[in-house]
Amino acid sequence: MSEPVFSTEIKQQMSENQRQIDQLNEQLSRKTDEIKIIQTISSEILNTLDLEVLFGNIMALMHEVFGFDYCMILLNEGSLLRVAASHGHDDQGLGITVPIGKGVIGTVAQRRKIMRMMGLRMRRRYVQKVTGTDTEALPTLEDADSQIAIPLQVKDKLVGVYVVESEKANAFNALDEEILTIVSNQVAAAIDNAAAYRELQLLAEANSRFVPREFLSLLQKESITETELNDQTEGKMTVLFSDIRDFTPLSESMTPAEAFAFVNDYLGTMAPIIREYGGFIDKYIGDAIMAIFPGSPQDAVAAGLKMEESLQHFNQHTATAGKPPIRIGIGIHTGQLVAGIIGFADRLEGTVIGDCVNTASRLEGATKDLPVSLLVSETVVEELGDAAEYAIDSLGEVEIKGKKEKLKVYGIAPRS
Amino acid sequence: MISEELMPALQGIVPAWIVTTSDDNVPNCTCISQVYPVDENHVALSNQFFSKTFRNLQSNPHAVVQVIHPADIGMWLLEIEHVRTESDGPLFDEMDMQLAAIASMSNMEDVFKLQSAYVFKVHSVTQLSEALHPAATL
Repeated sequence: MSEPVFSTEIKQQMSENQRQIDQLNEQLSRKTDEIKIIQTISSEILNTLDLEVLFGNIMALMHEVFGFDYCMILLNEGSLLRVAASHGHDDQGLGITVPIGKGVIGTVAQRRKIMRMMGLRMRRRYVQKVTGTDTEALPTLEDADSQIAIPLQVKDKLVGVYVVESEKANAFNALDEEILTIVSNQVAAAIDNAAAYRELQLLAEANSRFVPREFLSLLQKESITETELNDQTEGKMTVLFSDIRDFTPLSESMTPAEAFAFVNDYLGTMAPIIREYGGFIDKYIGDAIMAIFPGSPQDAVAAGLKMEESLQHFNQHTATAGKPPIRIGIGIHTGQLVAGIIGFADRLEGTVIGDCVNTASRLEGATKDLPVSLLVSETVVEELGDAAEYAIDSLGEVEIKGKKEKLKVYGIAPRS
Repeated sequence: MISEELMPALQGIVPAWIVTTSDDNVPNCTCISQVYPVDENHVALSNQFFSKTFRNLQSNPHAVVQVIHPADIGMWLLEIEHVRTESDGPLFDEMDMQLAAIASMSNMEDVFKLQSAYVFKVHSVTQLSEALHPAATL
């Protein structure tokens, strides 16, 4: 068998074909790599809502997978960018800001386009020589000579800027730029999600200070977003009212700002006690506290006594600032209550309503004319589990405004 | 014509030199900060304020630039010809952005403004050593 004889032309054609096949294979392999990168990133690395964990993952990804040693993430804060995470830099540079439009990073943010800048040192020096000015220090490696900065965008929103840098003059090529372009959308979306989640948590936390979690759980709601007008729940609960005696004349001796600070000091002492004993604060009315105890009335009584005790410390503390001691009155009553959402359309409030609330308030008011500061109703006394803990003193009957029948009232003190 | 090997020399790491001639054939040599790569057969220069070079190019579009490779300081000569001037579009934007980035570090973004991008066709690329000793490369 003789060897097939190919003309030179056919040989050339075959070699050209082979070259094209190799080239296509190479392109295919690059595409496959890109897809792998994208899959890994979205499934494992960016799949977290914890912003700090996410930053750590991104930095590790850039370092370990792509070999970028020095990286930074700056977040957009409107007119400036702030360094939120960095990797490889001795001084982390966290918190340093860059105005939008300044330097490589600021210009990338302004124009929303990736920039690969080489020979940074020479270029800066060139401008310095020509203009006779110093260039401004920006958060970067002391001797960074190459930088790629890429805008992190979700649709039209600029989330921040991702920066990769090196002290080498010619550290990055077009491929590095491509890799960053591929991952930047996902990185941006992940950061945006995590930032939004953090914001949501902060908001929920802030909300819980206005509408207590305990109140929502009474309504069997997880979040304030689930509540609607007319949501309500009924049950037996204890109401505690407290108020500072003669606060009006006292506050007249203070400036409004002083009075405000004084009330917040006082509430700061008393409010934690409510929670400590299983209650929550339904509302503040000036210096008055209205608290609900969904559990046993004993919780409310224990809290009331602790408040009296804490008042002594509070008075000692304010005496050093030359202020006169204050007295408080506390009224506690147990009964049926409705907790619910009241109001109309765009201004709602969670509160409790019931005759029991008025009675507790009246009891608190009645302490003004009695020799005790903590007054409870007969219902409370009847329900106190282990009454031996307390010295209970019957103080007869008092008239309650708006009530036909008089109410039996009791003073309570810890049994010494 | 513009190979991967040459790319690092077109990143503005080491300044380049350009020689043009006036309409009465007086040569002018000046230093420029960067010769930008456009595609395989084109490069661009930024027109900021070195006006003699650009005045010369109006009468004679041919020029020679020398770029330097940052890794081995290898010098390359490019014979180029001015073919068009761009004052908008992607190339202009990219060059303008780089200029703004550096200039803004010295609050000079209003002074260093890109007027236009001069685009040149590259006719030849030669290493300086080859240009000096053409016989050696035969």
